[in-house]
Amino acid sequence: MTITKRSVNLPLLLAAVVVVSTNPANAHVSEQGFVLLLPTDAYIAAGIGIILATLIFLAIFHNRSAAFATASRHLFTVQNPGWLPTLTSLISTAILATLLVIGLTGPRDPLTNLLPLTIWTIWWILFPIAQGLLGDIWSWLNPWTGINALATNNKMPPLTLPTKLGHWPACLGFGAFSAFALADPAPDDPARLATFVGGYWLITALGIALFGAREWLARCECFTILLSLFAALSPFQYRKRSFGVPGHGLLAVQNPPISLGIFALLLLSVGSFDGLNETFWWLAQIGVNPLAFPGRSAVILPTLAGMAGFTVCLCIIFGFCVWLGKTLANNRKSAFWQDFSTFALTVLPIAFGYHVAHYLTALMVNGQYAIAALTDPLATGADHLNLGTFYVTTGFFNTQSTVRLIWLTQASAVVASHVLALILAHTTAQRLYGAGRPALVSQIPMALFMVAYTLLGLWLLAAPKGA
Amino acid sequence: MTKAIDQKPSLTRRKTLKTLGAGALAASVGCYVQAQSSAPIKVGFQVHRTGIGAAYGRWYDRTTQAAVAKINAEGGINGRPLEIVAEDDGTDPKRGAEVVEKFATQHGCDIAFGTLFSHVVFGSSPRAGELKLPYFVVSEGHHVASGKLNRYTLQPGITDVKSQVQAMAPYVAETLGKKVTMIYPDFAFGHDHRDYFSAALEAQGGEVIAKIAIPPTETSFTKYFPKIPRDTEVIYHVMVGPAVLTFVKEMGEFFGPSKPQIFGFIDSLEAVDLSSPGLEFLEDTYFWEGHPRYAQANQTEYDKTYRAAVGVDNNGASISDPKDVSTYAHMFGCWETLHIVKAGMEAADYQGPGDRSKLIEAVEAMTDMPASDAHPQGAKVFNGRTHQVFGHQYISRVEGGKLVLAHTTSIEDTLYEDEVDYTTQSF
Repeated sequence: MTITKRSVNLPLLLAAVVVVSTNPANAHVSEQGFVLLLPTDAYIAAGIGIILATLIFLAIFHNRSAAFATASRHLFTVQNPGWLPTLTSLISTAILATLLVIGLTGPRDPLTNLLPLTIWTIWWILFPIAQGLLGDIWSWLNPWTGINALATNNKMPPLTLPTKLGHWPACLGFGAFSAFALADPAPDDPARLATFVGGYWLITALGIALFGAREWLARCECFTILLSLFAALSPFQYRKRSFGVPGHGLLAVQNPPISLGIFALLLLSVGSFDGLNETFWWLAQIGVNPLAFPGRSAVILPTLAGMAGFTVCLCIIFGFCVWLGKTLANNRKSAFWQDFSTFALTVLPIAFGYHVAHYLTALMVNGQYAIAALTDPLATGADHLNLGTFYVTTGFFNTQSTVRLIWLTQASAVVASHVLALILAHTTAQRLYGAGRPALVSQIPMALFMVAYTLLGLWLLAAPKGA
Repeated sequence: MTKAIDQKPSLTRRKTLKTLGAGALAASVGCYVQAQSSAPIKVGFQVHRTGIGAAYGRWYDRTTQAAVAKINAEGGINGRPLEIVAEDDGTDPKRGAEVVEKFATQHGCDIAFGTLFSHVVFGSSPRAGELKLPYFVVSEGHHVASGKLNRYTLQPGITDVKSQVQAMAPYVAETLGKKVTMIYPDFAFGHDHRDYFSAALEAQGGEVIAKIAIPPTETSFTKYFPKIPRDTEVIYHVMVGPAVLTFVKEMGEFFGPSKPQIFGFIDSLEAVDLSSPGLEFLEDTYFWEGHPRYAQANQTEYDKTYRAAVGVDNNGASISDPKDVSTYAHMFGCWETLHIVKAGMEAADYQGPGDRSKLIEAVEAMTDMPASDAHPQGAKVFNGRTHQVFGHQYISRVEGGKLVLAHTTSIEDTLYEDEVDYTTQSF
């Protein structure tokens, strides 16, 4: 199908938005309305207070913080038969294939079709949260390793992935994915999504066939890297068979390459911008009336430019904080880029906290649609889960008490993630710059960065939104 | 105000002959027609699933599904079942045009239907015209009757904002007061209210003594309230967006117990629970409603049946969650439009896409639509020339945190001069 140019005249459409706009409304306007009535200033002050208290605590007990952050216990282990991960991965591949068929041939409504609901709600929103809380499940469920094991019988791959590529392919991949998720006019469209997902599966399968699953998944497949990094935040570290303080798995990552550090910052910047681009403030910057959002088609370029600009700014500011801390600590033992990458991984809890906070409301609504689609996967009127008449509700956005609970849950995720990031950054500083005064002094810029970022995160939750 | 809504010319002789010819042809290829006649009629449902219209889209979908279930249970259209092909337009005009194209070229839909947001209608309608796809919008925008669209775009199931606003003037002037201060957001939506209501109030001998335009990005309103003239008898407010609750709260704090009469459009608080804390100030104030959210003492059997079908309780909330308030003032338009499509297709003996122009002519020929199970919002009159329906509007007063019907306008109150005659456009 081709869309003829004459059918869509963007300037005319934009003019129409300005001239004719008789029914402005907002998705979940009542929730937004209640948020604006909440004493969010006081809540934000309390959040910042918790961050400052954490900083003081770390300064006083800095000798013990590293021991705390890395504390873990040995988990009892169960020996799995070697074929089991292959089987679970194959099941995952079969499910994905079924979903792709549903995406291409099933109902066109993205809130009825199981493909967009599974990809965006279950996999993109819920699965990373599960990884962060429960540990690395993805290595069992990714849809490539099983089929690769069967096809290659774990023989050596024909090609070797150049070391100098680092994790840059994953950075590119995640950038492209983020552009699709944030700027594409119809990322939920079942057929469109099926094409993208199927295409990505094929590219990855090809990469694995050529360069081996281990290398490709660890350095090029952005979702495996993202999910592995989030899994490193979990108390459960299955490979090390340990259970400990959240994030102790991350501290075990030694000498991360610069590309991995940038990848971590990319996760944070895209996550943050995904909230920023909905605010009245951002819409005012790009000249859009927040009460009459003209649609994603009209803001593709500003969204892409904003996402790229925000990422570059974040990297520069973060790099400056690392450089200043290193200078204050008078450290010349390690290279700047090495320190940059090592510290960059400590922002991962924040990226995780933002993920939880940003998507919580979408999960609450679209999770219901996913249940409805599971009971009737082909929209034939079936009720496999025996739900009876099932109406999706957003009633929890309509009362002050539930909106307050939702907001405080989101804010708690943001604040808790910053507390964990502070602990990880402090522990990292001690490792890099030695215990005592140098490490403490080096953390002043990073502490300011974290306080500012907490403020940004809580402000994003409280700010009026129009897109 | 005078407004003539003439009987539309019935199907032309030439078209009638064409229809008869088609019937003869159909009889001669019986097997084919049999297969055709039992095939579902495909309705392309352009729904705001994502984007700023998603809250409305959810209820438009629910109402549409309920209407289709009812129509199909009653035998469908000419014995053929209705099938909904829902596509998300993202509340995005450009995407809307693409969706319309998919309905016509990919999904083989007979018609497109269901769009609410005006800018999406504006973006989609030209493509529907080019593809000769009847496009039934449920938008309440004045864009259809203004003549800016085309013969393939119709709005037979919901009244437009111009008629809604002007119909408020007689009641406001006679019952609430003649000196009105308007508070509205400073963009097209607010400007429409300002312009339509000012003119209508003047015609009733009243006067808008102050027009307070609020920038769309504003989230605190205390600095605007001192601009309200002291001799104001009525405040007409039509604020929208996330700051509406703040607006109501701050207005309540500004006036305290001695407030003027206050009148608003329920668009501000559509799908918001009126018993929410902070909205106590709205007690004794008035709202326009497209369809009374709360079941009234004089509730019709039609409204009762409609509520049950959609799964809405007597407070306008979902039967599965009393806090899940519906977009009751607007969503009836989906229900009524689908019933009009049924009536139009049956009148035109619609067989398939080749009969699309016959369908439009059949709808253009419609005039009176009495209150019924097909029209639970109330009686309406369709103007085939402007492709716009006109109907009763409701003014409700907040009493005990509920909207109680205070006045029902006549249909005549809603009429205005024709601004276009689409029937002069060729197919």
